[in-house]
Amino acid sequence: MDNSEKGTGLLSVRDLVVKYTSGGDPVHAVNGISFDLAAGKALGLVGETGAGKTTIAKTIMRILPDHAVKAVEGQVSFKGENILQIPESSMRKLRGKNISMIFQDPMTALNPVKTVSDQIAESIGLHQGVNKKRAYEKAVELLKKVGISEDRAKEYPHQFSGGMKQRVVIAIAIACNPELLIADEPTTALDVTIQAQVLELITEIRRDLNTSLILITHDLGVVAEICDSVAVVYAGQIVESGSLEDIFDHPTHPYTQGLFAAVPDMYQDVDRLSPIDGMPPDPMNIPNGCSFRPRCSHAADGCGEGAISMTQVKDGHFCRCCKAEKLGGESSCRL
Amino acid sequence: MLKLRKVVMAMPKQQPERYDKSKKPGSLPYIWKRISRNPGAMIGFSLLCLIIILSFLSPYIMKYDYSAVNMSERGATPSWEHPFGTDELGRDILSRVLYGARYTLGIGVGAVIIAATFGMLIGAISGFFGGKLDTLLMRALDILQSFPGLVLAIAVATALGTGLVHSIIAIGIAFMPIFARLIRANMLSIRGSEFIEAAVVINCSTPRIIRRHMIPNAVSPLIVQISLLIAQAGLTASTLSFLGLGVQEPTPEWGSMIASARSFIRESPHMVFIPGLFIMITVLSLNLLGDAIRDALDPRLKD
Repeated sequence: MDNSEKGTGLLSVRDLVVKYTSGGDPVHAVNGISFDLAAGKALGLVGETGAGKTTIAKTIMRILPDHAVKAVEGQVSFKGENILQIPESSMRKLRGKNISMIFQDPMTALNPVKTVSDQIAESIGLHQGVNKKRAYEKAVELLKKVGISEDRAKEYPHQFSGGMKQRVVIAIAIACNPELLIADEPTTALDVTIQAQVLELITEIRRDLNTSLILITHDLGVVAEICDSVAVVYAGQIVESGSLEDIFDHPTHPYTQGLFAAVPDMYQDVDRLSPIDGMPPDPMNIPNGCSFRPRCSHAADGCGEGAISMTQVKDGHFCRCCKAEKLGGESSCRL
Repeated sequence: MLKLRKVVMAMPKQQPERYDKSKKPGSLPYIWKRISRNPGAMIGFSLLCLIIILSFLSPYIMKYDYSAVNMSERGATPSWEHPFGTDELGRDILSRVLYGARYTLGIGVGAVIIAATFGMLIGAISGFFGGKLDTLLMRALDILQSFPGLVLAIAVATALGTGLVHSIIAIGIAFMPIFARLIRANMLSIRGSEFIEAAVVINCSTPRIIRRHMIPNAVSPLIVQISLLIAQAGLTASTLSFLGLGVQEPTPEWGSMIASARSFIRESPHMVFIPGLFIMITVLSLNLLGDAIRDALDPRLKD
């Protein structure tokens, strides 16, 4: 969103670049991501595996592994403060309190040898400075909020089902009423019924606490369920961004169109879905120009030259494609 | 219809099914249940308990004091008066052997506690921080481990001097690398877990993550190693005393009893045989028990 006005929202990411080292060559995980998130809103980051979604989340939390990261450039402003620049001690005051995170796999995100109430109470104790008994009481309240009864508070993670573990993970994440919640594929490891319950829970919590949400997923159905706006990530860049309606009703970028074409339609009898041919580019060797060019059916000579900038399709709807004006169209997809 | 409703209402409220603790792998009742099914382990456990109890009761129930010298009965063969005979100074071997159990076992347990504590500390630091510190610590441990455990224990005991506490320290140092490596390997595999990342996200400090999240997850193989190494440490303790580097006469440590009796092995073999037998029984019992604990803690071995 190079040409959008400076965001005044809760979180504003500008030209974020993250490079990893792997042997010798740098791995370009994130290549100039910019987006804004207003307080109380939900943004969906959609993209394939390896597109850099999780790296974006970890950069905002500042928990990228030091030894693997070569460079982090750009700006991440949280409430007007660039959190990539502040010292670790100030970051630690934000982490877990103002910004918190829900992990993908609840099976591994909980410590197997501590009771669930202990794990929730730990976060409360670290940030609110209350005594153990009060922290435990709060942990039980949180468990009730996510729909787990008090008599299971002293049990261990392995005694819980997957969906309940994810509820515990959510309880830990919301323990200190964060302003920003980053959910990294929160429903990927769960089956569909439990997914629906967890999504409902996240929506409910957002309504109660007015928490902003960054939802990372590759499931467009999940995005449709809870997000206000969507950013489609491809090869470490946002290729299309806009409101939920913009993206779902008028997908403009060929990649976004391809994603929707690969989703089964409830109202049509289709024998085969149409996948996007090819593989995402190797992050160690991203092609010049449009990174989607090798897989794009609309590719022309001009696509390979220079960086493609974001084009405004409509107010608030941006697309990183030279042919954006021609391609905009109605989607046939109804989720 | 109405009747049916009444029946339904009269039914007691369904109680949530209580969890049978002995069925949960890893819980103490479960471990105990599995150990108790292993006859070898139960024999080992009973013998150990017997030896420990008798050792503590021996000063009160024995007819002879373990240090009472009776020169008129030197080297007596087993009889009703002295069931295991007497030694070269006429001291009752039964009293001495029973009293001496506390030394062999005590050194074994003490040395393993020292080895486990320091090994855990070094292994945890090494495994968590990695990098140069890890290389430095691990190479230092490599140097320690390049000596056979006994040779290292002898070297340390020689440097520190003889005595009970020194033996414990010497054996503790010799056994420390085993624990350090074990913990380090576990820490390395746990460090990459998502729950450690989750702990960072809720803002745990590094020492807290190591202490509260990583070590509790890394210690279970340690428990098995502890039970097996107590036997080894006890054996090493006896070896050190036998070589004159451990606990000294007149303390009835089994190794030193054998050492002082070995010049009489032709005339009175029982003086060597009895303490040797006790060393064997104790080590065997500890090993049987340790094996059973390992099996009980291994979730892959189902009954």
